[in-house]
Amino acid sequence: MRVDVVTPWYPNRHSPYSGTFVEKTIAAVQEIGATVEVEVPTIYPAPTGPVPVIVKEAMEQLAGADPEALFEVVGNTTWIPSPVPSLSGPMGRARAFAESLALKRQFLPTSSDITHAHLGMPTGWAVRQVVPHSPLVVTEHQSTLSDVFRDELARAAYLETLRSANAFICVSDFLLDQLRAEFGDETVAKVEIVPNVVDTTNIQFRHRGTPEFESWIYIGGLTEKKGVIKLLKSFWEYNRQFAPRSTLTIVGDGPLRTWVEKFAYSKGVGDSVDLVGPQPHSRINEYLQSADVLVHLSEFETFGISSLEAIAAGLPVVALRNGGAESTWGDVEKSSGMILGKDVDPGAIATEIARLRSEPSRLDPLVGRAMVEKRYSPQSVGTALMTIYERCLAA
Amino acid sequence: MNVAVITRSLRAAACVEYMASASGSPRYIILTADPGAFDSERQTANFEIMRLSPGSLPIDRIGLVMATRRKFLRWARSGSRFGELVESAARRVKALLRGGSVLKPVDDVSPAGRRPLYDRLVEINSDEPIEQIFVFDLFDLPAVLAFGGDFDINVVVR
Repeated sequence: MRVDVVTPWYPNRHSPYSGTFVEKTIAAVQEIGATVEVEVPTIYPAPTGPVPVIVKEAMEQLAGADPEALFEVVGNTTWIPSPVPSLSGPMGRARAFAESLALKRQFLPTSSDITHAHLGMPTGWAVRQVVPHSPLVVTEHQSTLSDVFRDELARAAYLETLRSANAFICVSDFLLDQLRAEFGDETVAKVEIVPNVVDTTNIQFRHRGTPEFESWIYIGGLTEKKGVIKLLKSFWEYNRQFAPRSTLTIVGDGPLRTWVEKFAYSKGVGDSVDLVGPQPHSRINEYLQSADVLVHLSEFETFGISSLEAIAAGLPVVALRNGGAESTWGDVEKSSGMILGKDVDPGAIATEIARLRSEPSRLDPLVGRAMVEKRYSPQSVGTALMTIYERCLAA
Repeated sequence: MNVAVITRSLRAAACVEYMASASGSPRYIILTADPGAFDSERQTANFEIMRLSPGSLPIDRIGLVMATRRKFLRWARSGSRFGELVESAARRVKALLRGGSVLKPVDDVSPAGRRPLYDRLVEINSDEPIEQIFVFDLFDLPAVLAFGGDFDINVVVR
């Protein structure tokens, strides 16, 4: 079976960790026999207003003369430059993706049996404009669906994509609930859940006996949305009230980096907070091995891969009720950690983690590891996707 | 010698990463209206920067806008809570403008409108032959293709 995957999220030179979950999903279906080509529409920021015709003509001229001069091809992956006008919103991105994808396929055609688009908008809609009658599978992952639905045209385009796709997938039931709330039960009846792959091949399970809860770890972006301010405040409270030797290792980067450094030093915990920056996935295991607990205080997650990787490593996880947490590992919360209410303040989070430390017997990390291996393994996800592809082709 | 053309600097990081990853460490000249955008980028690539001074074209303003934006973000993200709040308010204003036609494009991207870019490429090429031109801002493509056609020089978008 030949599959074209169209995704705006994919590892690249500039962001080697962007969309690694899409890459792993692709590897999962390749492993069981699919031949995959990847097309990556890439945003080239443009000024507001329509893209001048002369720019589009120049792109066409270059593609006609030498397609790979416009579309960089690396292995099975083709990068598709898409000029997206500033402030043009989700519809602007979708239209730009549709135009550039059409141009790419005009000069570098594909021979797939089926197209799998990641994200309903902009990608799913864009693909539908280019291949209106071919089998289309769409996977939704994005955490900004509410922004899409706020835009009337984008919402209508999303609904059009949802209806016309041969199969529509959400990576968690939390996302499905969002679609249900927006479009109603009947419209989303066709939506299926196929999670992201959590590849535990390089994640070593370690039974920690009685965890000390002294070594915290956070893996993710340093942004307010990811709960980093609350994380630092909670760690400071914990360090001050319960465990003065505790440390926090932060794997990732983002706009709050300077704030994190300043806050930590101003509170006297500068030496206890270690910002190690973004790390390749191959090194995540060693960070997880040296930690006692992963603390992830984002208020909104569609999935939450880092928490599942930590659980697979036998690490207790403390998270907020952010959608992704209860959806992906809520059923093993008692054995794998703790999911707290969104409104809980940093002092209470510190107290809860201290309480968890005092009752280690309730944790059974083997349960979490088994759950991750069973539910999110490449084989399980790959098989589910292949079944959907085959069903679409047979219909 | 290669030339990277990136009048607007929004993809400066992608440009530097591309050059850094090129095999054989070829030498690059970066042509940009916003050299400041490359200050904080990784300096491992083998490149020198030449500023495009396009006179009456609005590209000068683009450089100024980008430099101001960078200074604002550096300040807003310097660690104060106030800075975060101001950035968050600015984002909300930007969101309100989204979809509106408050800002009109002013840039002339035709080869004639980008004559200074064309002339600069001619100048560089006469000093040392250009092997290849890498375009990182699609709005530069018409002028660069015109130059590439006239002088038989390979052009690629990255």
